Amino acid sequence: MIRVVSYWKAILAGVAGALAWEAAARLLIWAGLPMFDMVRLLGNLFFDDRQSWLWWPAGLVLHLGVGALWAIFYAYFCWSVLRFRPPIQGLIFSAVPAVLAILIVRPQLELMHMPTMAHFPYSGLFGVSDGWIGPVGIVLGHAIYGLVMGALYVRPVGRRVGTERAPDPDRAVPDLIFKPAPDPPSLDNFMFATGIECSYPTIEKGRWRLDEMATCGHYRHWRRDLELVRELGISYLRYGPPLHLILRGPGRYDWSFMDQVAAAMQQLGIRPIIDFCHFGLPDWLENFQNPHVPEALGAYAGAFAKRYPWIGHYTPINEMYVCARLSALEGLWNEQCTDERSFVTAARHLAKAAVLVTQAVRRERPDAIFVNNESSEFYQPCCPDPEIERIADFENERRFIPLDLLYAQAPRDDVRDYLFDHGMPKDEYAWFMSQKVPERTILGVDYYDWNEKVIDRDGHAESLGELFGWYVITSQYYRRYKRMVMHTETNSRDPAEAPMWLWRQWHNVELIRKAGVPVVGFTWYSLTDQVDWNIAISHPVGNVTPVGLFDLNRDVRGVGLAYKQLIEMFRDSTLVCPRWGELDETAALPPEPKQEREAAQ
Amino acid sequence: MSGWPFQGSDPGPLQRPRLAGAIAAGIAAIPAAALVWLTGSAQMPARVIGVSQPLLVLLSIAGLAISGGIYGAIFLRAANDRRGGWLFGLGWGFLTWTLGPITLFQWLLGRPVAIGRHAAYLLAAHLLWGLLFGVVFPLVQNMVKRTIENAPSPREQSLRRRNPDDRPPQRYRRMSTAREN
Repeated sequence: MIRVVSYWKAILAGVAGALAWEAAARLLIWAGLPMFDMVRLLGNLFFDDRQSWLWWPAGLVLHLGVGALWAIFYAYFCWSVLRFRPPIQGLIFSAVPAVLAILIVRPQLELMHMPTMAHFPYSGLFGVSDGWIGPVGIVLGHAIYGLVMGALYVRPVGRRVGTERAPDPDRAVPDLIFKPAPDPPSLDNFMFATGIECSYPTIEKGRWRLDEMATCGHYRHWRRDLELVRELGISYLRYGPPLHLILRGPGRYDWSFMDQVAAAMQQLGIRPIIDFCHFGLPDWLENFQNPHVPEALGAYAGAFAKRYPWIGHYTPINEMYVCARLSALEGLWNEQCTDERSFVTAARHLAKAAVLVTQAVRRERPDAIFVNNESSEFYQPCCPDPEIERIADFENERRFIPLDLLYAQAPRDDVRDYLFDHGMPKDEYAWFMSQKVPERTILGVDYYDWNEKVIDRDGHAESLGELFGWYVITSQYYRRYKRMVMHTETNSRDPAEAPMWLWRQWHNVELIRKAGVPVVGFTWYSLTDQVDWNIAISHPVGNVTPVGLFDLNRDVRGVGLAYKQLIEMFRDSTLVCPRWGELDETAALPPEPKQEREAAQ
Repeated sequence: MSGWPFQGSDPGPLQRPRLAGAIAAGIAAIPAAALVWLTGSAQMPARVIGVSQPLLVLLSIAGLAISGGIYGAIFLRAANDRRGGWLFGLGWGFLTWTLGPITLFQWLLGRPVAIGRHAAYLLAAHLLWGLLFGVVFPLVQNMVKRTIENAPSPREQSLRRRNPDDRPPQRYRRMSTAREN
């Protein structure tokens, strides 16, 4: 699939465009101006020209149908390709059908009227032998069509907040006959995982929801998706149930979809790592500035763990730092704020939610394992400018804030003061630092090629590509938190490069394990391609980002086969000796960049 | 062929888009040819071109099968789109009609190949062919694709290309041996 298209929007836009053309043409014709009459030409194929009450509706219906078809073409191939406002995109696109209409369609329709052709003089083999009125009229009509159609076909993905409905599991494609489930893997086995992309942030100040599970077709193909996980030999699945569709209000849950998915997972022997909150909230909770979010999520997690007692792996909150940053500092999602105080508020609420979720799950399932994943970030100053170095240094501390709060790890003094200066109450900070972190926690470190950034001369962060790599960045996180580690997300946006990227990441895992860091899992994220992921789901465009093990038709990509081969090769030889709790730092890790600089001096 | 402008459209390791396109187009051409034959719309083009009607129909089916193979080569992975396939096929049918009977033959012969209702049936046959072709393509693709067990991984292929003796390193040979056993 090349793009996610909203058929009903495209059809409506195309019909509206063709109607606007007809309205304009009819007015001009009634006014006695020379205007090419496409509807008459079409209608006269079926009815005599004297029966205008017959040929007009027939010609109009045919023209509206053609208009709808062209609009679907536009939606697939032209929408969002050009960086113009939508009506201009539609206008430019309309040149294609206009040229075809002048050179091919009009003369051929005239030929179809032969041998009578009383009302339509033949315009020649390629429609240009009959003066300028015909071609100009066709261009004008198409221009009106393109402007109207382009203006109406916008936001092909997502839904207006408040109109989302829980997916009906029975409407999913019933294309699965479950094969006998293999035994679930032993907990001593290395966790080879993938994930279903499940982000559901709101944009446009909370008015429009982008639900990746919907746009990637998971609600329709969830059975097939689960089967694909097993086809590749993967046992662990990072899975975020759609929080905004399940948690309908305080204490009100709609489990209808999740019940069926959970049953199928059990049947297939898939161990899910349940992700309670993935970049979004239900409408009634609004956004991460809401102080009631932590308690609401805690209650939801408790109810979830009680309903599905066989599930043992949980991610309380996905990528807290990224969620707080993109929602409250960069203004892309949810509250869309751009100030430090909002960032600190979001980070506090997310970290508190993670603590309460963990506690709630442990009440139901004391032996649950928590995978706290965070996007690994690293900031490199571009030059020996003290201000640039200060910014990079601060960002390299700021990235730890949510995990520091979750793991009761005191931040550096200046970062702690930054928290206090931007609204964190001291008693809340003390509450975080007094928490006892559960033993059975795994530090999840996500890594993509844009995670390492350079602070440029203007003080802005620019993506640097892979500079130090997962090994070095993960060393920094491990040294700070001293927990077992899992590579919880990676992918490549270039499908040709993806198999090599997979192996590069895997060799990072092998190397850091040899250095003594207990890495217990690896994840290619995600199972299928994602939608608008290249623009951080900041606009409802519908472009497919080809990062999946499978494309959105559920056809395997090269990286899917490479991952299957990797798992077959290493499944039995890569063993894990669980070492829970805070570990002694015995790993032979590379020195921190700062230590390295000091040593050099 | 990698001229398709959309990222990620390279065919999957299991897919054979050209073969699937040619077969699907050949299958879809049969009802379209029947429409042209039964309505008598093959007479005029056959006379204009100077061949017999059965030969024209056979040549048309062969030509459409080639057109289907070209479609597979251009669209690659996207040709297998279950949701939009019907539309892509319909568009391809229109394009084939535009470039074949209309542009090419009119240009070569200097006159239309069909007029009146036969010209309409000719267009209808191409649109019917395109629509069926787009719908049938994923089904044919599913039949001709390689199985997941037998597909070589890109890494294995790449390593084999790099090794002059065509033998992958030990760890990959182990995989091949395990598969053979």
